[in-house]
Amino acid sequence: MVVVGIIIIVIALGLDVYAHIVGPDPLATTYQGLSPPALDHIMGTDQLGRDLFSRVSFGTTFSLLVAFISVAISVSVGSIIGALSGFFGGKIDRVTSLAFDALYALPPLIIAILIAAMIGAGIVNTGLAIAVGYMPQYFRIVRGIILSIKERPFIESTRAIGAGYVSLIFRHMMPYAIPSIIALMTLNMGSGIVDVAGLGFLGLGLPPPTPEWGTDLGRGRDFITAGAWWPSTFPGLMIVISVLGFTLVGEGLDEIFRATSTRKKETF
Amino acid sequence: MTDLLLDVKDLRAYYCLPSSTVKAIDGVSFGISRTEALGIIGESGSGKSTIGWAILRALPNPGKIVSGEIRLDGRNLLELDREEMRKIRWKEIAMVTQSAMSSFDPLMRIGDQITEAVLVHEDIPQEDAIRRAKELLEKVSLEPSRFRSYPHELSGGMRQRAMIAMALACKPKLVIADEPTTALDVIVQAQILKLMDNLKSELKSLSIMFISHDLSVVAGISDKILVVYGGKMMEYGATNEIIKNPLHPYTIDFVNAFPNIGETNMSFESIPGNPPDMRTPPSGCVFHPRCKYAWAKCTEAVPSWREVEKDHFVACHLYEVGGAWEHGRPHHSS
Amino acid sequence: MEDLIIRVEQLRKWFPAKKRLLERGGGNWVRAVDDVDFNISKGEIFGLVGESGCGKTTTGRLILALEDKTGGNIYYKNQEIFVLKKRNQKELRRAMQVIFQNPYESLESRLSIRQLLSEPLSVHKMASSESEIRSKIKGILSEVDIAEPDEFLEKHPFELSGGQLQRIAIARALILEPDFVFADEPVSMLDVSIRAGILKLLLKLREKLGLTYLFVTHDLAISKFTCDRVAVMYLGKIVEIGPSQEVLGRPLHPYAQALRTALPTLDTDKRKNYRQLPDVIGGEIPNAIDIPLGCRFHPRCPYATELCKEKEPDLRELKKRHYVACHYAEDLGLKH
Repeated sequence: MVVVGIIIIVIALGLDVYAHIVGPDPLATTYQGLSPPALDHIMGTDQLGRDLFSRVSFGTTFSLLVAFISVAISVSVGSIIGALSGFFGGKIDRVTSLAFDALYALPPLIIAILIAAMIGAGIVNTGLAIAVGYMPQYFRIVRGIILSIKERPFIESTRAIGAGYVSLIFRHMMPYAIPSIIALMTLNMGSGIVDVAGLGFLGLGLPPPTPEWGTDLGRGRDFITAGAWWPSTFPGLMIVISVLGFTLVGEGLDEIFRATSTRKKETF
Repeated sequence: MTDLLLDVKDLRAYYCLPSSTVKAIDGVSFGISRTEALGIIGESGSGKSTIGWAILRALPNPGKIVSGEIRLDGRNLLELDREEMRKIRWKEIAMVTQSAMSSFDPLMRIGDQITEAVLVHEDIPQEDAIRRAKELLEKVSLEPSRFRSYPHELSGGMRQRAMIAMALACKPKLVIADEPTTALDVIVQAQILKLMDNLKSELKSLSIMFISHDLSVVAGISDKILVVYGGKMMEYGATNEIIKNPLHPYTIDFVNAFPNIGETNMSFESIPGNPPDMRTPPSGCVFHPRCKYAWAKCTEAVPSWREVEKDHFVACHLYEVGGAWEHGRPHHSS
Repeated sequence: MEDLIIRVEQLRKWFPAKKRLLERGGGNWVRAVDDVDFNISKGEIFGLVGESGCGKTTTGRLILALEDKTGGNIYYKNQEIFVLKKRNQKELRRAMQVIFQNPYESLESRLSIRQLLSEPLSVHKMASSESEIRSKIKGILSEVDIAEPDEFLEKHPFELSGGQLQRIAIARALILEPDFVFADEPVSMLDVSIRAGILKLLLKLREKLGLTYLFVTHDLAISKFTCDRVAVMYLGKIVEIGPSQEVLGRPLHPYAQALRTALPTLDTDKRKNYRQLPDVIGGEIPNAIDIPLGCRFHPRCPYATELCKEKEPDLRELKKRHYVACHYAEDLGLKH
């Protein structure tokens, strides 16, 4: 499963690179507006005559980049706060848990929309907007693992050696959370891609004329009734395929991690 | 040959794992007479608990009885089908384990559980079964009010007593006790041993198989002792004989590994090395890597089981033809 | 002039007991350690013996500052531990170490033996180069009688036997060159045939490295073998304290006597000792929330009188450095 997923992602990235090197400028407008897929424009052109294939390929970069930024932010913030909160407990823990639980109740896309509307467009801004909705997941997982390990004898023994908080948390407890975090990160890449597209679809997120799947898909809607199916379909297809790729990798990794942890328990 | 209640012949039980086969017990034979208490002594990897489970034919999953005979009153238990064996369990052989929590249903009052155990095996009216359960609780020195207690409401010692009551519910001929006092504090343990000793004298027809790693506990209650190591028998004899006159090098060392608090200069010694890894047991005599007296034959051949002194059996090459102790163990101070 | 490494005064650890619904009365407390006093001299092995719930392990943990006390004082080399902890926790941790009961749980199975042994050194910056670390590790492994250290370094805890792993746990505690070691039931989880070796190792290390130990166990025989002086604890209090030969060989307090009588032994004549325990001793230890008034042991004591029900006895010196907390200790002592 992992392998298939990785292959898909590599192909998508490969197309992107190819398009960067060879293809026409995705921002270049021509007078061949809305021409259907043909030899010179494999996926056709959009309403401004821009080559759809190159728009879609370049879009890979943006979607993956923003999704990656959002995952990076949500993993770091969520995990660290989760670790500290779980380790120290007390009032701080109660307050942060409450805050993240509230955040967790809302769908990440809605949160992203609200934040994007407030802070405006841009790669980093969009990444940040999306990240906020996913932070609670990492917070919960890491906090849960820290709580379950905290009272174990080997942690107390390490404390007795004189290890400080930083060492205890990051060298002795976090490693146990890593398998779950990695699996979640890959799955969230997929969700992130959808969220980027969603924001683009609604006109938030990356500003035009950036080639972005969601934006193009959204714009393309107006022309479907006119018979031009390609401006919406190809971006949409790319969304589906790339999300599939990441989901496969994520689920595959999850399975592998589950298998290795049960194998370790075979001792008697 | 006297009429034995339990006669085990050449029992072999293995655990078949994907990576290896563990020969938990590999050729164990012994007998228990009526009203006799046999102590089975062993450490990690000795197979002592496996013996108890095997007799009840209740080995946990990859475990299998590979060969041998287990005769209870002459009947070979290994030839019975599931239904017949089910009738034997609890009615003729009962078990008391280290943790009562695994024997009791946490959602049922203990009085009801004992009553139920009686009713399953005997066809008597419910009031009689209830009365028997109450008598049993009294016999194990639990207050009658405890009939209505749930297992978690009892302390560790009380639960062990309840477990003994449950084991005696159907008047079994043999009770197998596997480390019954290991998890208990010293004073509670003494009270439980006192209880078991009393029951043994009161109930004329009860035999006990007491399995433990603690020789001093076993010595307090057993008439005979069987020493096992690495799935094989090392020595068998009367309790006093085993403790005052141990013949097998392992037994000699094992007795010395128990500190005697009565001595001013307490001397006790470890046995060098570690208990065997039963996935890859040593060749020849399973104890040879740790034996002070091992010689060439010990790595090659498994020693045979012989009666070296009256009613005192050992499996050791030292006592065989050509062995250093062929004519008896050299004089030692006890 | 004795050099006292540890002084414990009126030490107290009370846990708040959870109140059940509809329970009347003020806050209930679990009085795990209830006004305990003792000293440990340099080079001494001091034992705390008792059954479960008596407070022996909690006392050790309080001394090591693994838990916070509720009252009283603990002095390490004449300085209050709480103050020392605030000032320089790391140094305190280096000087006072622990050996836990179950090495499979106290040593992280994810790490290799080398990592387990080098971590203390790096936490306390006790070795500056790779080769210094390696030589310190080899040094301590040979101290704990591990013959071929190279074989072990890359292994993980679950690959070692109980005895070997406990030696590694000891090595880990000692690699920091501490002054004081708290050994909490160090051999209880090991096979019987292995125990003597580990105890003799601890004794040897005391001589060689100049260590002082607090040795906690429920096993009286092991305590008598290993410890110089011993305190018997019951429900959070010390009931008898003195040289181990005396306290465990010829105990004076009724509870200590009961422990001694109940102890299984290989001695032919004493094998059925358990028959001699008076019924009133019972078996169950009362709940630490409901500690009896007066002498804590009186409900189970075969010699209890009205005085015992009302007044809690103090520790009194009966013989040289041998103290007993019982109103009738002298009379009972005559019996022996």
